Amino acid sequence: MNALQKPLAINLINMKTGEKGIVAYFNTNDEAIIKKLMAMGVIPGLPIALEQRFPTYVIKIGRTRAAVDREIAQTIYVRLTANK
Amino acid sequence: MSINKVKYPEQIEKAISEIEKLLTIDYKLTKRSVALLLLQKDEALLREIAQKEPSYEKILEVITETEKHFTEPISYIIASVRQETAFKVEREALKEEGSEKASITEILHKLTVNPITGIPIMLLILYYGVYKFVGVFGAGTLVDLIETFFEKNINPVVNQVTAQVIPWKVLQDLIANDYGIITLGIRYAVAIVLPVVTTFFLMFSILEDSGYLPRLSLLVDRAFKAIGLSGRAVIPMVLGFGCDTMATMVTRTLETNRERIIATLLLALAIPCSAQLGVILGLLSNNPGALLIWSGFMIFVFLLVGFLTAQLLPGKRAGFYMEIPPLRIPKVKNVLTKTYVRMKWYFIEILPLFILASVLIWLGKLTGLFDLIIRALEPVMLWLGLPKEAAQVFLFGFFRRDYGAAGMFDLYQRGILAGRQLVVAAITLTLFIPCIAQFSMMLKERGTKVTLAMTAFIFPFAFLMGYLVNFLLTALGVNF
Repeated sequence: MNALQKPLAINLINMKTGEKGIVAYFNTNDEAIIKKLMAMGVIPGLPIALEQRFPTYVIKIGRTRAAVDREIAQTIYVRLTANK
Repeated sequence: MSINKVKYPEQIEKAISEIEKLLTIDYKLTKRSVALLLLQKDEALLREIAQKEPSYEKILEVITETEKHFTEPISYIIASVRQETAFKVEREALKEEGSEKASITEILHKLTVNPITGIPIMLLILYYGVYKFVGVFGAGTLVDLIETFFEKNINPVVNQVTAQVIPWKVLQDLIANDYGIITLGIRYAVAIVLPVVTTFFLMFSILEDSGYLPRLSLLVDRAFKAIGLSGRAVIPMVLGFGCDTMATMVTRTLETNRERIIATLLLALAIPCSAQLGVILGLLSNNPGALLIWSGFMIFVFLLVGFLTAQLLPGKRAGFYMEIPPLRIPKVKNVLTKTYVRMKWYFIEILPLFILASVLIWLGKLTGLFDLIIRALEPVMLWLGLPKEAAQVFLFGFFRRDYGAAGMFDLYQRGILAGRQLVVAAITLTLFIPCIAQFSMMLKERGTKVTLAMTAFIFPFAFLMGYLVNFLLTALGVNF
């Protein structure tokens, strides 16, 4: 990907319901969390959409749907893509 | 090698071949796979090579050296490369027509996870699935049916045969009569536990296969965090209303030891199992006010103790993450197979505990130990405002829930236990360690130290709360 086209990554918890993007990186040193996320398919480079914020964050990554709590959601950074 | 071999970045490939050369023993995997697992710091494998590989230090060096080339953990890079490869394969193989439409399953998914519609749906499922089907049908109708069968057809035969074959009364009592291994232990397991567990596992397998359980966890996660648990713990908690012993066993599935301890304590303290629920609802159903006070108080204790334990226990809070599978209509065959396998496995675990209970009651009566305990409990009962006859109910209820129930009913019908005392007895009995089977399961799952600590808390706490409720109700002049 061309670096100039890359918008800034935002934290998953700052996304609005229905917004889509690409997983950019994880902001945590806790390798256990990274392992859990990757086991569920949350891997940098994959398309991600935020479906619900309350009571738990519901995300869709590729064809997989997952629920994560706020602490884990906070570690995920997403580059938003244009909607639709 | 196969054409689909995943190609990793140069530095990783180099590390792989270096590690491959250093490996000497057979791991039943290709050396490449072993090297990749080591680069991802697979704990089990690292432990194994530390013991078995002569060049263990050298391998570790290669791993640390490789890590220096990347800003991210190697496991993360390996996963990304694999993902890319998988995508490439998918693009080549899959042709998609049209876009995803809002299908019925999508609509159902939205309804079950949105709190506004999801919470009423959750309550409906718990009411009909757990309370009505397991509690009323399984623990009520079916238990009565099988119990009557045992009492009419099996116990008399066993008693008669034992009386003829074994000349000693003491040994007869071990096998037959009121507390025998067959007439109590096995009867209890077959007549009381089996129907409850069967209906429960049936319901549970349906919920599991439909994909509903992760949605339930998702809904309650936030509330459960307040009491030191995560959404994952909803499964053992719901199971507890069926059978606390089984639920204690299922706490194995929780992620942290801290969460397992909190869940075990709450199950022992505040979640009444279906046998207890049956008794209590039976006793209090004529008094809606009493029922309300009992249930309100139990919810209060559940939340308070959970909250306090979460504050006091050291350790990391449990994180919540769960894959949400699509909703599906369960396949009958799968549900039946699962129910059958689980029942078999559960029965093998629990049957010895019931036999043990029979032996203990036999010993307790034989040695006069029970009489001693009952006499020691009598002043406690008076202190709670209960008649001293309730002591026996508490002690025997621990070994044999149906006896505790029958004893309570008996006292109630004879007019010894009335009004306010019913609420006090119900609350104290619910908080008390439910039964010997659960106690043994706690020992097995949590170990002696933790179990004894919990018991040391629960016993005085149950009586203290009973005292407090009696005191408050008396002071406020509440009676039923």
